[in-house]
Amino acid sequence: MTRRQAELLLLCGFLILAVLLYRSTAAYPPTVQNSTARYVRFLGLALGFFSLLELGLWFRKGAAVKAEKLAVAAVPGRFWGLFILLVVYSASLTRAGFYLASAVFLPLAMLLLGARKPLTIVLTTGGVLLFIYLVFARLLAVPLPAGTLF
Amino acid sequence: MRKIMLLLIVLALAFPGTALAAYPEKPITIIVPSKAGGSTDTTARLFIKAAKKYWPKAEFVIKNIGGSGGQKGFEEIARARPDGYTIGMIFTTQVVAHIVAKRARYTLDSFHIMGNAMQDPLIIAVPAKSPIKNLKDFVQAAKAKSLTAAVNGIGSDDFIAAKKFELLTGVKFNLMPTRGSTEQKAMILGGHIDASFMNLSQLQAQHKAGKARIIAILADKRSEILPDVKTAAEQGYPVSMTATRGFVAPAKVDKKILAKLDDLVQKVNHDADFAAACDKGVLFRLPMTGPEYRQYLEQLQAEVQKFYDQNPW
Amino acid sequence: MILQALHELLTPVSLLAIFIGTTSGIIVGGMPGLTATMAVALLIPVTFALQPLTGLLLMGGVYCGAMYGGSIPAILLRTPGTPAAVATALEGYPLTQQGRGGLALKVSVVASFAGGMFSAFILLLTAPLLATFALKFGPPEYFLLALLGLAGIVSMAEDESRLVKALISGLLGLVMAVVGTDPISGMLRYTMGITDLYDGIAFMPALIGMFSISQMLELTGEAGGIVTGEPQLDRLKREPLPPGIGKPIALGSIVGTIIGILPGEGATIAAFVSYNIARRRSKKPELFGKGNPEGIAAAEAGNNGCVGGSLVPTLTLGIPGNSVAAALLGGLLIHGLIPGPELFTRYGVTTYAFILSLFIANVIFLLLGLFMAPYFARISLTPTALLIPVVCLFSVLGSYAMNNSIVDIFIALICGLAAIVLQKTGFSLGALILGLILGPIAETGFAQALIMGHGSYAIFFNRPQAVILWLIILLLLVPPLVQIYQRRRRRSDTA
Repeated sequence: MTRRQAELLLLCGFLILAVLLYRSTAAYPPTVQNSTARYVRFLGLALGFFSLLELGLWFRKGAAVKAEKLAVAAVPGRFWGLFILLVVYSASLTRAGFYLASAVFLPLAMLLLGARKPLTIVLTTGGVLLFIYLVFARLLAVPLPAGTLF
Repeated sequence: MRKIMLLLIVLALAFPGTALAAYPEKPITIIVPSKAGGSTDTTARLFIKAAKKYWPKAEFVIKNIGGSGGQKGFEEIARARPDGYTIGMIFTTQVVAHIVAKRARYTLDSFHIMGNAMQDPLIIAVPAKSPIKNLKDFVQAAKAKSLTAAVNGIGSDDFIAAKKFELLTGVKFNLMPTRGSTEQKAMILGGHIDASFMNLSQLQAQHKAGKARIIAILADKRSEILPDVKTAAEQGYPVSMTATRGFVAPAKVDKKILAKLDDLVQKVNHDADFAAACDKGVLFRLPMTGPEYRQYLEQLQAEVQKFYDQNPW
Repeated sequence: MILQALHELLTPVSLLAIFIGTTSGIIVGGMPGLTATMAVALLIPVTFALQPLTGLLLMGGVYCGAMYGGSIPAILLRTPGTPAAVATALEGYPLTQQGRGGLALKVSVVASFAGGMFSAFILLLTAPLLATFALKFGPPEYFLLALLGLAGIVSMAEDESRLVKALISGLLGLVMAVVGTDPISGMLRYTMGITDLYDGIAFMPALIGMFSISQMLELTGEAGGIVTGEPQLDRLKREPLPPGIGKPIALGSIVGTIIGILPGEGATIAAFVSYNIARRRSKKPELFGKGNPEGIAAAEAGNNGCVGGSLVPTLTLGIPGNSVAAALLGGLLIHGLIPGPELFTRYGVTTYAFILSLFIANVIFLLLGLFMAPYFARISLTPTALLIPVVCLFSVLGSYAMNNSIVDIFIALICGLAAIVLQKTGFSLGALILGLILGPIAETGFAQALIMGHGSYAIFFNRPQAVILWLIILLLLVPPLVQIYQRRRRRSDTA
C-alpha cells in the first residue's frame, strides 16, 4: 500500500466514524439532547467536515506527489514478532501470573531482537524482575497481575 | 546463571501459594473501589492498622480499583477467588444503584456482608453569600424559581437525597451532576450554583471557616462536630440519607474463614484506638453487624428502585 | 512563626524525611504506572508511626520528586513516567536521538527546579489571596480553558494540509474521550459492555501506547541504540546549558502556577499550555518538535509550577488542586489538620514547615538531577536488543498498574499500533493527546455551563472571567492562522 492509499482509507474511515457518531446521539436520553448530545453531534460534524476537506486536498494534490510506499515496519519480522509477543505476554498475565510470564517474555523478546549472549539475557531478566519485586511488590505494595494456574 | 533463573522461577511459583489450614497465612487483599486517598481508602488503611492488633501475623494489601462509581471494584470483589484472601469494601448508595440500573454484574447475593464501619450523612449546603439561611427559605426559593443544585453523579447518594427531597417537598431542582465532591466544593465556595447535596465530611471544615453554609443535615440527630446545624427533620422536612462504607467478602468463601473475618470487623469496629483515629480524621463511625448491614442494604435497594422506576437514568 | 517552622525543619530527622521523600518521588515518577498519588496514599498509615510533620515532609518530597521524575524516561525513552511529561517527551526524545540526552536532562531539571521554587514562593506568600482566584472558575470557564488548550493544536501545525490533519487528530482525541459514562445523564455510551471502559479510555495506558510502545516497535528497525550516528560520550556528559531558556522557564513557571491553582487535573494541561505559548513566542519555532530545549524548559517549568499552585486551594479551602493533592489532603485530615484559616494560624508551624520543605525538596532534586544526568543519559546507549524488551515490560506493567486492569494493557497495545500508522500518514499525535486530555473537561464544562445557564449560551459570554479567556484564546489562534495564510499566499505567488 502506498502512503496516499493509506491516507485515503483512513480519511474514509474517519468520515464513516463521523456519520455513525452523529447518528448515535439520537439514542441519548431526552434530558441531555441539548447538552452532551449536542457536544457529541458537534464533534461528529466537525470530524466529518475536516475529513471531507482533507479528502478535497487529497484529490487536488492528485498524482503530483510521487507514490511513496507506506512502510509501517522497517524490519517487519522483528516488528510484528515483538508485537505478537506483547499480545501473548499480556494475555498470559492473568493465567501465568506476572513473574512467570515476564520470565518467559523478556528472554524471548531479547532473542528475537538479536541478543545472543546468554549471560546478559539472564542477568537483565533477573535484574529487572528483582527490581520490580523490590520496588513494586515490597516497597510500594502495588498489586501485580496474579495467575490462576497455581 | 541457570541457578538465578531457577531461583526466579521458584520465587514466581512460591507467590500464589494455596490456601491451607492456618488462615491467614498469606497477605489478604482488600479491594478498595475508589482512588487512593479518598475516605473509603482511608477507612481501609485505618482498618488494617487496627486489625494488626488482633491478627498480629496477618498481612494486608490494598488494591485500589477506582472509577465508574465503584462498579469495577465491586465486580472485582464479587468475582474474586473465594479463598478468603480477597475481601473488599463497598459504599452506598452506589453499590445498590448499579444493581438497580441493571448495569452491575453482581447482586447483593454475590457478597457475604461482613458489616458496616463508617457513615457520612448527607447535607444541603449553600454558598456563604446566599440569602438562604434554612430549609424553609430553601424550599420557598426553589418554588419561586428553579434552583441549580449540584450532586455527585447520577445514582450517587447525593442524587438519591436530592430526589427524596424533591419527592417530599414537591419542588424541582435544576440538577447539575459533577465529577466528584471537589467540583461541588469549588462550585459552592465560588458561588456558581445555588445549592449542593453532599456529604458532611466534605464540607464541614468550610462551614466552620464560614466559607460555605450548611443549612441542614439529613440525619436523625445533629452531628457532634457541627452542633449548630439543625437536622432536616427538626426543620419540618423528615428526609434522612447517609452514605455507608462497609466490608464484604465474596459469597462463596468457606464459612469458618467468614466467621473469623466477621469477628475481626466487629473487633476493629469497637476498638478504642480505631475510634480515636476516626474522630481525628473526621470519619463518622456507624458499626453494624453483617445481618444488620445486609438488611439496611436491601431496604436501600428497594428505595433506589422506586426512584429508578419513576425516572430511569 | 516561620522562624519556628524553620527550626522544626532543620533537624536531621526532617531533612532525612525530605531527602527520602524526594528520592522515592523521583523513582515513582520515573516509572510509568507508579504515581505520586499512590505513593502519598501509601504513606498515610506510615505517618501514624511518625510525627505528623515528618509524614507531611515525606509526602511533599514525593510530590515534588515525582513531578520531576516523570521527565527522565520521557526524555530518554519517549516513555512519559507521568502524563504531565508528555510535552517534555515531544522535545526531549529527539535530543536524545541526537546524542544530547544529557543536555535535555539538565534543562529539564533546571526548569523543574525553577518552576517548583517559583510556585512554592507563590504558595508561601500569597496563598489565601490566590485561593479566591481559583473560585472564580466555574463550568463555563473550564470549558473555555479546554478550548484554550485545544487552540494549541493550531500552533502545532505548519501549513494548511498539516493544519487540517492536526485538527482531525485533535477531533479523534476528543471522540476517544467521549467513550464511557455520559457525565450528565449517567448513560453508558460506546463501552461495548466492557466495565473497564465505563470511565472512558484510560488516559495513561493510551499515552504509554502512543508514545512508548509505538517507539519501541519502531526501534526494532534500529540495530544499535536510540542514538543515531556516533554517540559522543563527552558531549553527553558536559554540554553547557543553551542560552535563551530563561524566558520559557519564566513563562512556564507562571502559567504552571496559575493553572495549578485551578482545581482539576492541572499538571498535564499546564505543561501543554506553557509548551504551546513558548512555541508561539520562540524565535526559533521551526525547531520545535525536533528537539528544542526551550520546549522542555517551558513544559517542565509548567508541570512543576503546578505543585505549589495545586496546594494553594488544598491548604486554604480544602479543595484539592489535583489527585496527588487530594491524597495529601487525606493525609492532612487524618492528623486533624483541617484545611482553612486555622491551618495558617493554630497549626501554622506545621503548615509553614511543610511549605518551606518544598523548597528543600526542589534543591534536593536539582542537585540529584544535575549529578545523575550524565549517568542516566547513558541509558540511551543501551543496545536495543536489551532495551526494547525491558521498556516494553515496564510499559505493560505501567498500563496495568494504573487501574489494575488487563483491558488497559490492550488499550496501550492498540494505541501503539494506531499511533505508528497515524504518524506515518501525517497525522499529529500531539494534537490527538491534547484532545484526549481535554475532551472530558470540555464536555463536562460545556454541559454543566448549559445547566447552570438554564439552557442559555449567554453564560459563555456574560461573565468577565470568561471574556478574558476568550481574548487569550483569540490571541493564541489568530497569529498562527494569519501566518499559515500568508505562507500560502507567498507560495501561490511564486508558483
